[in-house]
Amino acid sequence: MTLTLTFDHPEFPDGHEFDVGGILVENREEVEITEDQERMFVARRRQSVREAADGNQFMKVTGKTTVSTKDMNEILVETNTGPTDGEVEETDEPATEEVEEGDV
Amino acid sequence: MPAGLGGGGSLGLALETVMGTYIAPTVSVPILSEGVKYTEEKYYPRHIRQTTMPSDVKSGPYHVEGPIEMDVDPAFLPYFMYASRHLITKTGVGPFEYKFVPSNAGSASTAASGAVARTMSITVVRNDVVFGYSGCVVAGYEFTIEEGTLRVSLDILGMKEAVQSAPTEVWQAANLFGADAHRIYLAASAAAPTFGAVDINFNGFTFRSNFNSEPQNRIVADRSASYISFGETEAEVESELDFIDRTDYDNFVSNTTRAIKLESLNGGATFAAATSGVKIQGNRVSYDAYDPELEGMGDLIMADFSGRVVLPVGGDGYEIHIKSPATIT
Repeated sequence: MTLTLTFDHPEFPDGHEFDVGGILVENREEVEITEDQERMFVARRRQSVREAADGNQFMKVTGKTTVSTKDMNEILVETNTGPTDGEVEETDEPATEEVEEGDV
Repeated sequence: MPAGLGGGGSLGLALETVMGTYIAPTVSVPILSEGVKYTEEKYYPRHIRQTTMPSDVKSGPYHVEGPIEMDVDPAFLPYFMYASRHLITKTGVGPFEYKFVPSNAGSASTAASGAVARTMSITVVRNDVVFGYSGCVVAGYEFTIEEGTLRVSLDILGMKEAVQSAPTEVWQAANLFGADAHRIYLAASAAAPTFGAVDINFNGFTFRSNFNSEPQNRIVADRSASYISFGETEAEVESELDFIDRTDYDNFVSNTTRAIKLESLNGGATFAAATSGVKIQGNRVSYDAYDPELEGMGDLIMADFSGRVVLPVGGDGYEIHIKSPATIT
C-alpha cells in the first residue's frame, strides 16, 4: 500500500488538472503515489507529502508512506547543502503510521 | 539558507471573507515578476538640540504596495478583478463568464462572498521565506500585448503584512493568449456598441485603468492601513496605428468618440464559442492624441494614439469580460 492523494478544489471543475509537487492529480479524483514519485516530491519540496497536505486545504493524503525517515533525511542531505527544518532524527521506521481513509 | 532564485518563488492568493484578515492561498498564480512590499513612513524627529541629525526614529503608519506582472490566464484573472473596483456579474455553468465594469465605490469592499468586489490575501514566497499580505486590492491595471501574448500589470495596495506558514503550492496547466488569439474591433461609441469587421491597423494595444487609490491610516493602535480608498477612475487606451487616411485624425480634431474592443480567445472564433477568453471593451473612447508623423525616410508612417475612456449615456465606460474555468462564489 502506498500513499493516495486526493485533491478537491471547489472553484474548479471535475477533472481539472493540478500539479502537486510534480504529481498530476485531477480535481475530485484520487491518485496513488508511487515510491519514485514520493521520493521526487521530497527532493522537490523538501518536505513529505503528508507535511505538504497540511499546507493546502484542498489536499488529502491517506495510506502508508514508502519513504522512511532515514530515506527522507538522505534525500534531504543529498539535495541540499544546508540544514533544513525538515530534517528529523534518523530511524528505520516509516515516517508516519498507516492511517485510515479520510483520517488526515 | 543559501541564496535563492526568483524561479523558486511563488505567489498565491485567496479572496478574503473579512477585509484585512489573512487567508491562506486557494490558488497558486504563475507570475512574471512581483514587487509587493511593506511601505512605511518612519518618523525622524528633527529636534533642535545642538545637532543637525535626527535624534531618534519612531515607527510610522504602513501599508503594502507594489506591482504584479503576469501573462493573462483566465483561470486566475477573475480573482484579481474581484479584488478591484468593479461591479460584477457571473453567468454560465462552466466555463463561467464574468463581466466587470468600474464601480463608484469609495473604498475597498468589506463583502464576504458573492459576485461583489472583495479584498484578497496575497502570499509571496521568496527563497522559502513566506510573506503574507492582507487587505489587498488591485488599485489599477494595465493590459498589453507583448511578445504576442496578452499580459497584465497589476498595481497592488494592501493593508498589512505578517509572517505566515508555508503554503503548499498547486499549479495548473497554462492557458495563455498568444499571437493568434487577438482581434481588435472599432465601432461607433454607444452603451452597447455594434462592432463590425476586425481592424487590422493596430500595432500594439494597451488598456489601463487607474482608480487613484490610496492607503488610509487612521489613528488606532495599529500601524497598518485601516482601508484602501479609491478616487477618480482614469481609463485609457493606447496604441500605434498605421496612418491610412484622415478618418482617425478627423475624429481626434472633431472630438468624435469611438468604441474599441480587444478580444483574446482560445478554442473558438467568437467570445460565445470560445472555451476561454478575455474581452476588453472601451464603449466610449475620446481621442486624447492622434499624431501621424514622418519619422524617417525608411520608416512607416504611423500615428501614436491615446484615448481616454468616458461614460456613454446609459452604459459603462468600459467592460472587461473573462471566460474562465474558475467559479468564484
